[in-house]
Amino acid sequence: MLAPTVIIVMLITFTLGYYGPIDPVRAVLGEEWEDELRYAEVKKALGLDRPFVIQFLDYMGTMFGGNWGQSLSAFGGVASDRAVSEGRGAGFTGTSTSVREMVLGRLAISAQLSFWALVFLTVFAILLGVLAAVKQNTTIDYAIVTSSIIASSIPAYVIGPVLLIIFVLKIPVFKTVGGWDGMFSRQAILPAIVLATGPMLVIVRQTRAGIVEVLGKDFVRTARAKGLPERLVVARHMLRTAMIPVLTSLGLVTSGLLTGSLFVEQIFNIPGIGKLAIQTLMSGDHPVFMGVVLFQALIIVTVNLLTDLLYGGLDPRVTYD
Amino acid sequence: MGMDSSTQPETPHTTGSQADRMPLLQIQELHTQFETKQGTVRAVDGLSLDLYEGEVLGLVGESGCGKTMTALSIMGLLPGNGRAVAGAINFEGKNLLQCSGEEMKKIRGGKIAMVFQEPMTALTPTMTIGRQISEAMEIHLALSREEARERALELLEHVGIPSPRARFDNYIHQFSGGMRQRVMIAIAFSCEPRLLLADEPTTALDVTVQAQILDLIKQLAQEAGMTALFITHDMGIVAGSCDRVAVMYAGRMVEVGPVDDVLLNPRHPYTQGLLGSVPSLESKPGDRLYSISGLPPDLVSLPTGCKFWPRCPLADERCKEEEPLLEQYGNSRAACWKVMPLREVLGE
Repeated sequence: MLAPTVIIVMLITFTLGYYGPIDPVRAVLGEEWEDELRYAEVKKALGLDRPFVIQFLDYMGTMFGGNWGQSLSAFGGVASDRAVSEGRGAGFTGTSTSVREMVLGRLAISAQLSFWALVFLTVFAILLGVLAAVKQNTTIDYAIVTSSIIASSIPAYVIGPVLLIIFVLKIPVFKTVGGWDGMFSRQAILPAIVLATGPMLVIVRQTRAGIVEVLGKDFVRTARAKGLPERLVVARHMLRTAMIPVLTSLGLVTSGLLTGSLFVEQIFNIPGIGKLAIQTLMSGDHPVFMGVVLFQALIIVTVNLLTDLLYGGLDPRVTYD
Repeated sequence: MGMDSSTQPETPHTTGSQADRMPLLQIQELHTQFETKQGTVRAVDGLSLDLYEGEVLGLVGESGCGKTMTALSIMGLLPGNGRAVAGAINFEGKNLLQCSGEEMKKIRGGKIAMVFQEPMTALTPTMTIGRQISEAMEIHLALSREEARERALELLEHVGIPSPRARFDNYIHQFSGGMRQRVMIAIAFSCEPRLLLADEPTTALDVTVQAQILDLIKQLAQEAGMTALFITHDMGIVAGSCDRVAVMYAGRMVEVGPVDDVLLNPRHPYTQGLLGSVPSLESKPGDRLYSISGLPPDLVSLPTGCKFWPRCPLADERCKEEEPLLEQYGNSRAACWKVMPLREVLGE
C-alpha cells in the first residue's frame, strides 16, 4: 500500500514541477537570469539539463536514499533565501538547507498545532455530539447542530482575524498576534481553536448520528433494564459502538489538520509545514516543495493505517491476521 | 378513565390456593399507547392482571397483541413515544407508573429483571460479557468491582457456561445464541430480583437449545423463589413451565386461569383457536392444522364490541356491539358472550 502510493505521488509532483511554470534556475539566479551563459551553467549544476526520466530516477534515488536533497537556497538562491529567513523570523530556528531537516522541523510545529486541534475536537465536538443525540430534537440539539454549522461554514481566514481582533485588540487576553513559541505557550490556543472549527461539524454530526443510531438498539435497552444511570448507559454501552464511524472521520480530519493548516499558519504566522509549502511554492524552491508534498502524502497514508489499527481497539470484532 | 378509577380486580373470587396469597405485582386497567401519524395505537388497552408471589404466569397471544408492551410498561422502558397513559402497576406498595426516574432505576435490574428475546442483539458487542454481568451488581448490591467479578464468575458457572474464568473477558461475538441467552439470564438473576419478566426467551434459539434454556430459567427461578412472567406464543412452553396462563388479544385479556384448566378446557374461541393451531399426538400426516382466519385488528381503529368478533366463527350481533367482560367459569375466567362447550365448532 505504502510504496506504490508514495511512488505515484512522487511521479505526479515531479512531473508537475518539471512542466510547471516556475523555473528553478530563474529562482536561483534572480535578476541575473538573462545571462545565458550563467543560466546554462546553473541549469547544469542543478542537473536540469538531463532528460526527464533520468532526472526522475535520480530524484527517486535521493528520496529513498534518505537524503532528500537540498533547498535551492543552498545554491545561493535569492528568492529562497527570503523564504528561509521569513521562517526563521517567526520562530523557526533551522538554518539548514537540507530538505529533510526543513520539512521535519516545520512538521514538528504543525503536528503540535494539529494535536491541540485534535484534542479540542475529540473533547468538545464528541461531547457536543453526544449531548445533541441524547437531547435529540430538543432546543439543545438544534442549538448545538446550528452553531457547529455556523462554526464550520466560516472559513479559517475569516474566523482567524476575527478572533485576533477580539482577543488581542479588544480584550487583550493574548499579547502577541502570531508566531510560535512551543506547544504549551498561550499563543497555541487561538490557532488550534481556529484549526478545529473547520472539521467541527463533521465530528459533531458523526457523533450525533452514531449515538442516535445506537439509542434504539436492543443492547441499550438491556443496559437500561439493569437500572444503570443514563451516564453509564451512554459511556459504557453506546459510546464505543457509536465511535466507530467517528474514528473514520477523525482519521481523515487528522490528515487534513496536518496537511491543510495552510491558512491558519499563514494568518497566525506559524512556521509550520503549510507555511513552508506556500513559501516554497511562491519562491520556486522545488526540492523543498516536493519534499513537503511527498511528506504530506506519507502522513495521509500513515494516518489511514493508524485508523485501521485503532478500529481493533474500539471494536472487539475486528481482528488482524 | 382516571388513573385509579374503574379498576377491575382480576381475581375477586379466586378459587383454591391463590385466594390467600397477596399479588406481588398488580396491573390495573393498564393503557399503553403510541402516537403515530395514523392515530393512537392502543398497544395495551385496559389490561388487568395479578401476579402472585412465587408463581409462573404465562402471557400468550399472537405477535402484536401487547405482550411485550405490557412487560416494557412494567419496566418503564417503552420505546419511542410509547406511554402508559392510564391505569396502575402496583409493586411492593408503589405504583410503578408514578415512580420517579431514580426510583425506577433502583427497581429495574434490582427488583424486577427482564430477559429479552433476541440474544443476538440484546447484549453490548463492545463490552466483555463479564463486565455486563457484574456492572449491575456494583450498583444494586453495592459490591466492589472485585466482589462483583467473583459473583459474576459464580453466576456464569451456575448458568452453565464452561470455564467461566476464561470466558469472563470474552465478547458476545465469541458466543453462540444459546450461550448468549445464558449470559442474559445471568444478568437477569445477578441482583436476585423478586420478579422476572422473560420476553420470549427461547424464540430466537435452536429447538434443541430452547428446552435447556427453559429448564435453566425454571430451575433458577425455583431456587430463588422468584415470581416470573413468561411471555410466549408457544403453548408447549405454557404447558411445561407455567402455573397460570393469561391469553391476550388486541391489548386486553380474553382468558386467564390455571394452565390445566385453560389448556384442557379453553372457553374463549381465541384460546381455542390458538390451541387448535398446535399439532397434537393424535394428528395424522396430512391433517390440516386449524388456523384462526383473518388478521389481528388494526390497533389504531379497534372494532366495536368484542375485539375478536371479525375473526370469530361464533360472532353474532351482540358480540359486535357489546364488549364482554371477564366472567368466572370454573377455575378460569374468560371474556366472551359465547362461552359454552365449543369443541364442536372446531370440528372435533
